[in-house]
Amino acid sequence: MSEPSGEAFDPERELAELRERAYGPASDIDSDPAAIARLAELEEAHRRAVAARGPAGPGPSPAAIATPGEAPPVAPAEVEAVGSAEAVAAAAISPATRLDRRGYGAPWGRTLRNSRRYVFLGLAAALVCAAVVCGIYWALAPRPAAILRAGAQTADAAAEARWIVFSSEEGLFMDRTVDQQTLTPYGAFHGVAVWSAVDDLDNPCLILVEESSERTLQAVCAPRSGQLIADVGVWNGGDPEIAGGLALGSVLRFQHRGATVEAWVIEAPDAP
Amino acid sequence: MGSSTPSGAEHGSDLRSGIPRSRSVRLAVLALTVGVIIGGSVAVAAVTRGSDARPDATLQATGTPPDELVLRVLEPPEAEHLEIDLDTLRSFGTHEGIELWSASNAFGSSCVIAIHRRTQDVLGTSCVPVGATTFVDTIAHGLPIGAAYRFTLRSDAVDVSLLLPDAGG
Repeated sequence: MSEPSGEAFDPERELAELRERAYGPASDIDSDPAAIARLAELEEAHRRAVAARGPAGPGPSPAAIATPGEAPPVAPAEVEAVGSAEAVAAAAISPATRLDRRGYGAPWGRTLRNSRRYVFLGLAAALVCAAVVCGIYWALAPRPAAILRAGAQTADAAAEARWIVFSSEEGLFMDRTVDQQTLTPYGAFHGVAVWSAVDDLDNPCLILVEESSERTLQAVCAPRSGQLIADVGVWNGGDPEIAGGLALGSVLRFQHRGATVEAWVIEAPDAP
Repeated sequence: MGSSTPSGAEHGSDLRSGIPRSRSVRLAVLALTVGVIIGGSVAVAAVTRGSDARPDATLQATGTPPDELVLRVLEPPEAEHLEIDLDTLRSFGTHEGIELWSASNAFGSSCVIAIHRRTQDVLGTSCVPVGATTFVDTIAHGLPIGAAYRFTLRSDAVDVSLLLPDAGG
């Protein structure tokens, strides 16, 4: 068996070059099956040589401290353990390229570490992008002009008086029977006082009253499967307090949300 | 010596699958990122579009011009304040005896009109500036007590939703 010289056969350099071709930024080993096989061969020899040396001692072995361009001083016991040229090649590998205890020098270790890093970066990027998309949707989503909150149910005299007015108005609530005890005030918006109630079928109802005249503008009930919405338009001859500077054709929309009523202003373009 | 070659070859086959694996992981992560972004966008869009339930029916424009009855029931003083332009009436056909029409008004708003031809009643009218949902609710005419039809005007159709009370009416 011929002994490879340090200059003619430098497994350390060859292994380093193959690792660079396999894991480096300009990886091109995929198209070279012979190089892949050679890299595997050198890695295996390296692994076996390390295993043959046993646990790492306090200092580097004589083989490990061989300088480049110089024949490595291989220990006879190591040569005996491996019994091949690969062992000599593996023994010549310096500590800089030696497989470390975390396995970062191994192909799978490197691949696994890179995979985890890419997965982490991908998830982080996905989360950031999702947050940005949510933020854009949130920023662009329309918002009500006001949110009216429910007051006490029929606790004051105003509600009692209002009920009397409602009861006297024929055809209110789309001919439904409304429970007086559920009458709830929500305050006013643009001159429109807002009340809610519940009918005998448990449908919520919305009642809109013109504050200036105490005239009922709308009284609608809708099954809970549909959104309960009542509109008040700004028309010629209407209450100027309701118009409040809005163009003719604009609409005040009130949407019942249970404990709150959202008030929306849908503005019409200025009439020509 | 002979034993190292099979071992090395075996390790090499791992390598062959391992090196592309690194790239396939990158592609998988990229696909995951794109998938999360698209999925998240769709989810957010679905949520922000609100609880638009699927309509029970959709009525398409028929091209039928308004006849004398329709023009008569919409003449002032009916819905006079809405200032509906009768020249812009478009028919969307009939649903359960209720005729649906759309129109524009003097303020450029979109209007939806529900007419019960048999009783010659205007069951509901609504005009809302373009861009907001325009709908009209109707009751009676064969519906269970407490139930209502909601007719929602879309760009070129009218969606019909039957709203039933929880109590079953």
